[in-house]
Amino acid sequence: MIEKNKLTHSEYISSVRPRARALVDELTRRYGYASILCVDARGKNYRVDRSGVSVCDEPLYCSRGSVLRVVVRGNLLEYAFDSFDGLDIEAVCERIDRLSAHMSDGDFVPSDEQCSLCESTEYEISPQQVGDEWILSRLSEQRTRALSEDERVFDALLRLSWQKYTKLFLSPHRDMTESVMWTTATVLTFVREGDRMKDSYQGYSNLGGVEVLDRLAEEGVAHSVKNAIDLLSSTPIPAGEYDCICSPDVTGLIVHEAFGHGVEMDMFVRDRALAREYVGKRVASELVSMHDTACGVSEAASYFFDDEGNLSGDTLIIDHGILRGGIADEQAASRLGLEPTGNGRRESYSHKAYTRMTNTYFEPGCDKLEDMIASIDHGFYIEEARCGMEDPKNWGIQCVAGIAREIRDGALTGRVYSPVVMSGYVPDLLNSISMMSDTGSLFGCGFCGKGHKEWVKVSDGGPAIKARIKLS
Amino acid sequence: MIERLKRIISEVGISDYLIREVQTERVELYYVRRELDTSRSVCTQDLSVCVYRSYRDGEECYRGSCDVIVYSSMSDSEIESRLREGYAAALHVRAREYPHAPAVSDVREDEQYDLLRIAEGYAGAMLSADTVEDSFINSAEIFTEHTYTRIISPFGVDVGYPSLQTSGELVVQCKGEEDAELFDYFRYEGECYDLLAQRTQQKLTQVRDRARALRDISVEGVDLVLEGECVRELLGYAMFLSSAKNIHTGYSSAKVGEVLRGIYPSLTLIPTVPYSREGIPMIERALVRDGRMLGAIGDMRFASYIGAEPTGEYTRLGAESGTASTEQLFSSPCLHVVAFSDFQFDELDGYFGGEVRLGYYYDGECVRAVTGVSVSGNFREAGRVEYSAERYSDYTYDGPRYVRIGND
Repeated sequence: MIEKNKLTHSEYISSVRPRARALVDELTRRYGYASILCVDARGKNYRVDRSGVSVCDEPLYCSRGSVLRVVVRGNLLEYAFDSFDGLDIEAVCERIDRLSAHMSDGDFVPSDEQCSLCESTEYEISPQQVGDEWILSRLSEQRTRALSEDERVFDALLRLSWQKYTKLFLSPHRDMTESVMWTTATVLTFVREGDRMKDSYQGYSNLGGVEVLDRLAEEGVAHSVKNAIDLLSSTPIPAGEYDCICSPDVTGLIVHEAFGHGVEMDMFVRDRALAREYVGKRVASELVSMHDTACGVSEAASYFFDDEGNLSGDTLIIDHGILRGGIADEQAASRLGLEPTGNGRRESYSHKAYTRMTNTYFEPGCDKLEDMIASIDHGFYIEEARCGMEDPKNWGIQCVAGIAREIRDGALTGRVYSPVVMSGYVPDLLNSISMMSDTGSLFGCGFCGKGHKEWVKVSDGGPAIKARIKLS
Repeated sequence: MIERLKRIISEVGISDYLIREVQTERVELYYVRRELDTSRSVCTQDLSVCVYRSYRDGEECYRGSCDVIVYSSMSDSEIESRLREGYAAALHVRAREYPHAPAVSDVREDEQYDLLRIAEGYAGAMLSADTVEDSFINSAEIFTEHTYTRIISPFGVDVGYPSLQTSGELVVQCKGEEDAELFDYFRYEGECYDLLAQRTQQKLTQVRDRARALRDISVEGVDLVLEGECVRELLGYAMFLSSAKNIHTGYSSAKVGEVLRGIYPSLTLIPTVPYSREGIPMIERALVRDGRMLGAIGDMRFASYIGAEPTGEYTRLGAESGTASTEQLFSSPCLHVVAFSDFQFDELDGYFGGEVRLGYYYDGECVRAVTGVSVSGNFREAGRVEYSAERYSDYTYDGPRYVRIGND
């Protein structure tokens, strides 16, 4: 039985609580409603590769500050600041008043049910306790191992990242504190043969500490090297529509990019999402059930409450193929006459909250992977999710994977193709899902952008799936 | 705060460091259709200290480093603790010794701006351009930001400079034969309201075409014409090849004076800030002439490793005009792409591609708007590449508007 430790809350957050509460009380008195989110976040990046070793506080993971939110004539206004020292409430009100002066009357009503909460997540091995030297040493070991696997390995980039944050949300009726830590460990192997260079990536994440390094060491490095070597013989894929088995991380890419973004209901409000017309209708095969949840699983994007003070939820987006609904931040929920789903998230306290995914996945099915591969006459096993772009308006799929392994007559032939661009129409792909493996995984190494900015930690995944997909 | 920080650094016993402070004020306007939906005001200070640590291991001399982020709200003991942690970490960064940035003193006066007035100016310009028939602004975000950056080292770097930028997103929509949208991102320095108005009008016209565009037609076997930001992406390959870090680590085999892989006009690096992150004065630098690399791009560390002059980091690339007129470029069948969903360029092997949100397909007889097709190619291997005489300019690029890549 591995002992787990609970995170302690930031002393900074504890120290500013009284001033934060006083500010909320005063602004509520003046405007009718005010809330504040105070954040103390810290995180580091460790990197070992051919250029050397680096360790640093990572700006994306580090922040300390607060964001005030007030509602003026039904409009939402915010003021973000980094320090309570010298904060002049009259100057703050002057800014708010000036911002609101040119706004028409709105209809936003913030949710403010009574809620008191104080929670934190657990970890096994704290990065701060083991120290930088220990982490760099482990990463260097794995890099040495990758380089020794094959003489064609040109470089192996080993990286570990962690973030720990404490958030305090106060409003007239809410007093909520949470502390959360996630850690990720990744390997990116570069191989070279003559003029040709290819790369392959494996990543592991957890809601916890550096215990995630064990998984990287057990399987990640070897898998990354093998895939990279295989890619040296890859050729561009013949464009066409094929029966495909998607590995769990590629399933996650499809879940996140192709469908997840399409059910962010701030897009419903803006008439930017086709999904709005399909609520209550079939959008996927009977096998498919899809969730977005920050509390139903323990992964890198888990938390207790969102950046608007709403409790995290477990949203059943697709229920055996039927679209049940989406996820919503507070503004979107208010406009649509719904309850917020706990998906209002910010890149940092100085950024606006948008409707954002958390941990998004398909439920596993009942099939064995070997049976799924055996069921294919001519198709591909697709691995290594690379990137994707959302298209909620048209429900188009634009996802890129790293590697497609040919399957013929129910067996892998050894032939490899890359890159792999998956395209098509989302409901067509989801309705074509005919098999789903009985186990699933979540992958939380990446960050999700809204367009090309507003980066938040997410995870996605699911089981392996068999589907008909357009590849090029 | 900087004086406080220098005192604590001295008390910890750190003699080699670089302090970077960025004061930010920002106004954000969020529009849904033509209505101002949400407004925000931001006032923050970001502080980081890069601590350096020189040490010897046998005959070799090393200079490790670690970036430490601190806040004015921290107590002295908290800042001290962070600095000590960073200083200890630097000992494990075995970077071969390299020089510190040379002394330079240039603390410029800060300026005061009415950010709300400027943001509203851009909003007004954008909304005033919303006059194209059948199409309209779906939503927009406008961020007007004033920053003051200060960089200080104990070796005489003491620079400070202001910046005023407006950036944002624009989504335009047309409910024609199809309900179509196009997404655009913009960024300007100073007050360039007319440029945003022109860009908005252009996008509103293009989205109307997208609503009528043919879907999933075959465009194989024709040359590809890319425009604007995509041209910048391809030409940016020269920056990857010329990177001192990439040359040092072997990811690039480029050498000064030799021909770079790919076909390029003359390229120039254009600074967008007066000083790099280390305090290196940023100047315009010729990068490529007659297809040959003239110099490497690098910071103090990697530039020294390859014996090059440190340049700092560049975002903006200038390129000499091509010789092909617009008529020549579009005189034979081609697919002209004006918007991708996500243009991808792989610097490892030169492959590029993406899904077309809006393109114009000329088959030799007529031009048709197309959408939903995928294109790909390899810039490194392209045999026929022509650059336009017509130019395009934005925050990251000033050069030929179009590039035509042969499908050979």
